[in-house]
Amino acid sequence: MLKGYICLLLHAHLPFVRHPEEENFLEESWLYEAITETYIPLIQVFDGLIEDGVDFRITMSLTPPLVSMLQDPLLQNRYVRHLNKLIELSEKEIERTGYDSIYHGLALTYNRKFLEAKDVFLNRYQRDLVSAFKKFQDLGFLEIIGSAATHGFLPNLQVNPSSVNAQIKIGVAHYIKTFGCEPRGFWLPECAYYPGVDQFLKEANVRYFIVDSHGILHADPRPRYSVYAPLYCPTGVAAFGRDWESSKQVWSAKEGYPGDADYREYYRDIGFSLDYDYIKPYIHPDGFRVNTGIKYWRITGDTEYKEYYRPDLAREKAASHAGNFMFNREKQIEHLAAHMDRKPMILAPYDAELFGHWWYEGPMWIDFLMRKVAYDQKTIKCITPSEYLFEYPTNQMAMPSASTWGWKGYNEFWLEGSNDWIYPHLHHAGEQMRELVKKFSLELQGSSKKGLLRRALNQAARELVLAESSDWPFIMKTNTMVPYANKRVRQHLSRFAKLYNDITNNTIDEDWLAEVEWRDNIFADMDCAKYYIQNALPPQKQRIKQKAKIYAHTRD
Amino acid sequence: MAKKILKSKSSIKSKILLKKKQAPKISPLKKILAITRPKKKQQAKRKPLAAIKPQKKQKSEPRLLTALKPKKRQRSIQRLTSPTSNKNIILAPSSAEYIPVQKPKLRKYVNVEDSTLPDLSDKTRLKLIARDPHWVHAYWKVAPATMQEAEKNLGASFHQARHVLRMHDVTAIDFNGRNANRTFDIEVSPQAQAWYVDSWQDNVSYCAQLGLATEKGEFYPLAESNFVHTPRLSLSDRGDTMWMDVKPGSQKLPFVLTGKSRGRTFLGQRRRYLTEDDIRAYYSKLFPLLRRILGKRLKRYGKNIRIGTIDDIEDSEDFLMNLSGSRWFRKILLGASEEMVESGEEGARRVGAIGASESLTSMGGASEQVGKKRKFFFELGTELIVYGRTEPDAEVWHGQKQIPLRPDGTFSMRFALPDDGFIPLDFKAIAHDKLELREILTSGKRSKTHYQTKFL
Repeated sequence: MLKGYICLLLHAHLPFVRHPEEENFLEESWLYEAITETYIPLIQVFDGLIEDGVDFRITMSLTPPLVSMLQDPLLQNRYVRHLNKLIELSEKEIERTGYDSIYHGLALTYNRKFLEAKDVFLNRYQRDLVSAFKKFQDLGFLEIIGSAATHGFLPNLQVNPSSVNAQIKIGVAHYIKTFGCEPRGFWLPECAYYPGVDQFLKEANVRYFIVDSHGILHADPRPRYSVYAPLYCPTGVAAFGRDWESSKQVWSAKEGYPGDADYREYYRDIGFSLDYDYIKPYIHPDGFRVNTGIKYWRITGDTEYKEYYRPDLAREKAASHAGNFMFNREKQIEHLAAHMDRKPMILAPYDAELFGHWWYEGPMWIDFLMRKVAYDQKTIKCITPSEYLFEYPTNQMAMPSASTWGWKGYNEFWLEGSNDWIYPHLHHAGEQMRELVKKFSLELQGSSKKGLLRRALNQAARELVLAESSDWPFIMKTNTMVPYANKRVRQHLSRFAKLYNDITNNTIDEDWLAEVEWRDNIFADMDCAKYYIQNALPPQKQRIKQKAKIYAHTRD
Repeated sequence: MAKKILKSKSSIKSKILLKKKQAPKISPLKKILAITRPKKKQQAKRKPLAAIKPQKKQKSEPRLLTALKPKKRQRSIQRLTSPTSNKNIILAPSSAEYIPVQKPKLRKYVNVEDSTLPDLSDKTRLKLIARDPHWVHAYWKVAPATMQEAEKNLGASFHQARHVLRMHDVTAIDFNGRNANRTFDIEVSPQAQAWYVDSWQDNVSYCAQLGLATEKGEFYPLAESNFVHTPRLSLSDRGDTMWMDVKPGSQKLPFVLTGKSRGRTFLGQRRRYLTEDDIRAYYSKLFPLLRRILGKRLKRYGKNIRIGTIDDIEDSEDFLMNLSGSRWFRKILLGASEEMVESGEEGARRVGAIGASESLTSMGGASEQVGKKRKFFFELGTELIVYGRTEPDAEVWHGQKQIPLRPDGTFSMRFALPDDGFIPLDFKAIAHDKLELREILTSGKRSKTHYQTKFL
């Protein structure tokens, strides 16, 4: 008997890193690695499930920076170049390991994996991986939710409500442009909620968002069903809470599945272990070693010594872990259902990049899980939050508590000694942006995009949202690649300041503007500045279509 | 339009059209050439054509024809047979992998590498950001002009004045500058521009003033801050259950259920819809932001609820901030009624004072100080439990807050001691007949963390 639901949510995000001015930019490889190891494997899993007629449901957030990068022709070209290099390396590896039965097999596996990735990228989806996800959404298996323009950390931006508003509204408008319908749900960057942010979501016609467990538990008044049913904010936007049990099983580095001894070791890469002369063409052109993505060893244990990787063992493990996860959820649901007047829903959100990139067998695990849930039991079913709201439109009303899914559960990771210097500047720029938009609101009306002033205003808005990205304070705190994050924040702020001065003094330098537009081309075809001015709502015409879709998605 | 142009053959467009039309007739090789030929050349060719005025049309026509002369054709064949062009055409798959990205035409070299941060010192500001339930981050900047003005106003005492960050606890009140629940000062150094302020309570609203405290005890404000609310750190002590029905495109007001329920279902229960006033009253005490939004709505549209724009809110805030004197913080007054909704057979239920977390659970008050480069850290969490006993019908107060007593008259509270913090713990108990009051004064203190490097 069906007793409850499980909702698997994958949050896919990468900061906007695109440097047309440099041929080989180290940080761009974040995207290439994620495409090869996470996005393409996930697409392959989804395609496989659909091909086999498995009825599955997954919720996914694709943030605007990620979508922009995946759709960017320059980065697409560079990805193909990157992948060709990898294929070349894997071919050399096949040769090099010719007499070693163990590593030879692994080299062949990697070679096939890369060739398949190339096939998916070039032939099946013509470079546009976003279209793949859109296809899954249109088929009704995947629910893609929106996110803020550049993953801005909203609680720390709330000093300027207009900045929060712009982050949300630009994100929603970008979603509509990309996926052709309004987002039903919204991923608050870092799950960072504060009372009041739901107001902006309401205006953007968003139906739900996700918060961490304590956001629901500490809601006022007390939640009746804990995190196993959504709450409505007084504005009518639903808040779904993260389930901690299922999170721990996957997230935790120690007890979690990804740390199993049979899984592939992430930190042993041939980019670091092979002869320098041999590997040189495949690491960074400046000569320092980087991860190539080819890794032959398994986690083995907490030792320096690593056993070689056994794909067959890892596959078995992934299957048994999927079974274990499902079994635990069944028990959890059975227990919860006895205390609730409705079917409980377990929401398990994860970073998408965990699957494949960090946890190599992750996509496989999802594949097994979806199949097992569909065929091996009758207690639980996969669902998306909007389907749940369709089944249960009446929910408790309470105000969730401010919270994030970061370290210690609040804003500390993004606001502490190493990164608090950015906020005076961000807030100041936010004020200036609003001032500009108020002053030149007439320029932003109408549809002509040619005017120099309008271009400058829009670019100023772009620079501001790029500086607001939560990734920069995050990187500053984690103490890796700090100079890059510093440079990015400073550069965007400095570009914004120049634009502000040029606009107010009427001395816009067109060449300079063109150069900056060419470099920071996120939302290039959108009027970003107008979202600072009023309650600029995204286009409404899709609303009816959207409604029809929600009904179509709901099963009997 | 297009037809007209074609007929007259006078404009440049028509020439291009002509070229396109004629090309396939003459030679398929020409077509291939057109593809392999770099874009720039085409444009370079077009440009001189564009410069030609309609009168020169006759001259330009022969030029077009020359393109089709055998001489040129020969060249095209040569190109095709040369090894480099061969590569271009035969290796089609590899060229499909690389789709040229359109580059801006003839970009000048422009230096956009500047990364100097803008100077913020020309404007006086003070902002608060809530970091977590126990910490509020404050940053400020005092413009030289503001300082000069202060010097002018304070005269001689200016130089002896201490810089002070004055924090006002404005939880659940309509703050007018004087009626804060609690106010405390933090002395900051004149050079400091940011501070982490520890607050021993979660779920509290703050605003702050930066100012100069003179020796005589006067306070001269330099800057005023925004309002923040720290998150709640424990379960809410309000257990009312309100419901809401939301479907795409339609949203009703929340309601409570009255009447006896059958089993675990809603069957047999009546819905009683709450008015916007009820919800406002319910929440206004807690969230200044929501209070502001709802207050704004009500002020403008009465009960016909409409949402005010963000601009209204920001503008009114700007306006309020700029008011001088004691009125500078005056907020929209809300008549928050203490009455909450009755919920069915439970009878009238009164929601009293906002219980700002009596059951403090600690997240570990000590701030983490992980050494950046060296892998060394030292964490120490300190918590304090205060417990006591009195007559069950007496009242116990801690500062402005009443402490709920257990039925046997005992009570306990748990505090997380902040890093380098001092907590005055002044308790008083009032007998039920208000005839007797007893006070016990104590305090908790955690001394500073000392950082020492190279001590050996």
